[in-house]
Amino acid sequence: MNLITIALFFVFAIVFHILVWRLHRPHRVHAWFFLYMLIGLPLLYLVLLTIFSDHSIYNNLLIILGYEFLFTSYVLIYAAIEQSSLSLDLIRYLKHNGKKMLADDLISRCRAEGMIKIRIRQLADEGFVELESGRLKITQKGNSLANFIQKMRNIFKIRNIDG
Amino acid sequence: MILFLVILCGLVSLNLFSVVLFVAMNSITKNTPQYNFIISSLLTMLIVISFYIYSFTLLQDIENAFLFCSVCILNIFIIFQFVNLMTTSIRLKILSLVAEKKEISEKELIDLYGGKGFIENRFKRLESLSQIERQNNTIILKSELFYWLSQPIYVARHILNLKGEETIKKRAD
Repeated sequence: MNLITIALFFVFAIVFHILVWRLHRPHRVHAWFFLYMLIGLPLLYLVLLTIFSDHSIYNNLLIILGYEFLFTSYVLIYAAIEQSSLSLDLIRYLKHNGKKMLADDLISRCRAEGMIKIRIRQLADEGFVELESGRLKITQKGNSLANFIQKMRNIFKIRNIDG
Repeated sequence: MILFLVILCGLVSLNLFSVVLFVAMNSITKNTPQYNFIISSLLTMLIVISFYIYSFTLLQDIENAFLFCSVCILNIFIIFQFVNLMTTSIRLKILSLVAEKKEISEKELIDLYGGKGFIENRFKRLESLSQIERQNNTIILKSELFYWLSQPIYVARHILNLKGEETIKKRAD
């Protein structure tokens, strides 16, 4: 029964998310996911169930736990939905163009510069870098994130970011 | 309530086990972090499956055991995404380059990172995953696995009314 409830709860959240996106996509997507889908909705569910249902609190917590993990996985996949992956697009392009292509021709068609420029603007919008007359400066917030990632890479023993 | 706490403790222990194994493999081998993570996760999964069988036979509580396993698998997927993000994210690469130089012009950054190497990196990654093959100067699609696996992403983009970026210039014909 718990599994069915989690699945139904997740489907409801996804339908709600699709409706919001089709009507008006929020500007700060991750903050929206965090506030409404990972905190707001489970809290509302917990309150409603505590009032109207005779389920034990343990059962409700299990349902919330299952939902949180399922939706967090979706949020991580969402990044791939919103922003194109060049690797996946390369595979798709090859598949639709005879599965074979000259490497130089393929490289000349890739818009790496455009992809990087978009991401620079996103980093600037989110306050991680400052972009002034074509020059990029790291901000306090950006520096903190870069240091955190560096620490995590040291802990995980990851040698380099390929990008 | 006690069972809920047991599940949480089990989850934390499995995470720790998986991460320690992953770090050890990263220190010893020269494999990509993603490969090491998949191996360490598979070993962790074996423990999860053992727990599942144990719960099923002794506790007679198949639903909670299944729920626990699902949460563990999702949890491992979340850590995998985090590892993936640390190694392949374009934005983190840009951020680390800017943090390293403190100040850099947009053009310098694009020259440093956005040249042929940016695309070659992706070719290498796809080659190591056996998705493409390079013969002289020709790129050949070797497997359609990623093509089919990525289809839901393109469908979801359509459902959510998102445009995506134009990463490859289309042919005129």
